[in-house]
Amino acid sequence: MFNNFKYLVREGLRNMWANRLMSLASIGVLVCCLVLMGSAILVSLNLNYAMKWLENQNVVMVFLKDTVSSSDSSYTRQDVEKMILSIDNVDPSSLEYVSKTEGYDALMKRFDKNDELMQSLGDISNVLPNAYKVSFKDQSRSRYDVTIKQLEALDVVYTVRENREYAQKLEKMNETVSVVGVWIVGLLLVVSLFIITNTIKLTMYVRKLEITIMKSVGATDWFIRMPFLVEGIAIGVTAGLISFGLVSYIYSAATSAIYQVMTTGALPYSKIFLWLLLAFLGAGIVSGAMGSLVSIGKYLKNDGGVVGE
Amino acid sequence: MIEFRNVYKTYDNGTKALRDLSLRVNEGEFVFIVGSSGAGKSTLLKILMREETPNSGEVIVNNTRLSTLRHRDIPYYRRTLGMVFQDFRLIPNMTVFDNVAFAMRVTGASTKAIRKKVPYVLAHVGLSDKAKCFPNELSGGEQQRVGLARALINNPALIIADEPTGNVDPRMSFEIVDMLNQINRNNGTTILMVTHEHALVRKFRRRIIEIQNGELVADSGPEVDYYV
Repeated sequence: MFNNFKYLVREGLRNMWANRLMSLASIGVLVCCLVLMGSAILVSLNLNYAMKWLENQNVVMVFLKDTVSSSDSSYTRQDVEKMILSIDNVDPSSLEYVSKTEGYDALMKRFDKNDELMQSLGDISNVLPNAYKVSFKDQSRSRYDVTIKQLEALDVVYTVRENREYAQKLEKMNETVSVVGVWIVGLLLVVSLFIITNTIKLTMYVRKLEITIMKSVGATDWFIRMPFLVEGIAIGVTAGLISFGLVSYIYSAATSAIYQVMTTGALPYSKIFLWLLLAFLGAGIVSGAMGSLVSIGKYLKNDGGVVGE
Repeated sequence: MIEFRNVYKTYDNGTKALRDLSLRVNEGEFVFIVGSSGAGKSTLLKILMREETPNSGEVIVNNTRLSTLRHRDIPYYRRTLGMVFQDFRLIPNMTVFDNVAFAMRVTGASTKAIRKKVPYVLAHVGLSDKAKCFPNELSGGEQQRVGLARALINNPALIIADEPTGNVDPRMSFEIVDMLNQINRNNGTTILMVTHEHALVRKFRRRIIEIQNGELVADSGPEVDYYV
């Protein structure tokens, strides 16, 4: 049986080569499909990752009114801190003062000071308000929102910046990406199945005589099917590997860009590449195998086609 | 060996191909099947190959009742037959060796067994020196001998030849039928040969079955061996 297996695999690869133009077309379409699918999934995964990261941050920036910080203010830092800590959900140990210069430095770290845009802004070291970084004891949604409201109501507070707001925005984005992604991928999957089916049909047409002879000498359905299955799977594997390479390249390029603008960062490539590879190979193999089985199935049901035609 | 009992076959388009056909061929016989075109000879062969099934009646080949044969058992049944075709049915991009090996490979034979047996059978049909040739490099007679080698490779108990001399020049035709004749005599292989060529039929003097309009019109009966 092993002899046969080797023979049948070789036959399948030979078919693929003999039909290289159509094989190439199949691979191309399948690659498009897989790359888009992979990208959509990766974007979605990363948005989820960012959401989780933001939610787990549990850091709320409480920006103070400019008047509070000036020297003629009626409030001292102690007064302000007492007011913030009067809200019982605020974790006292987390309270941390961020002066406007510290805030500015932190911001500047993420941008290139020599950048043209930054230069054109001139000196902006004074525009940021003083702030407090705080964490909450109870993070449950209802409690969280109430605490934010309480902070905002404080006389000294200019505004409260919380991460959950971003998280929700990301969630909306994630939904959009998912919906659009599913449609595009679905459509492309149909197209690529169609093309693979046709490629195999073409091979079958070319090898009609061979199949007829195979049947007349007593080849089982599986013996006839195997080379076509191998051809489909080979197309799928090739497309999977190409897609994996492409997406890996795009992802590495994209994540290094993301690091510059988003503190959350992206899912590290080392954590996902194995899954990515398996997913691409799996999707490629399944669609290739399905394409070939569908196209040959009808033909094999017929017992005839041996004598005379 | 082969038994047809009251076989009827009507195609979907209304053509009545076989009408109440009954015949019996014993093991080791050599039978010519003659009849004008459209007489039902092809249908007879298709039923024997289990490409078609009769509307009614019973066909038994080699103790296999064809009406009860399941789809997945058909290949195994076909392996017990050797087929020779008028148009040779050789695969053009395979060498003579591979064409013959192919029929063995299908049965799951090992490469070792193939390497051993194919040259033996090729020698038997006198094509040892052509093993590496492609079909289009051979004459019609040679191509048909490759076809014969392929039919022989799995040691079938029954060889069915569908006008094997139709595309072969007369001198070679004689040679092909003579080969079938030898196989029949030496191995006891049952042979069923459909043909138009009355000259050959007369020359070899084996059992003759004639079919007209799907009916058996003449049967010379169990063969009277004129050779011995």
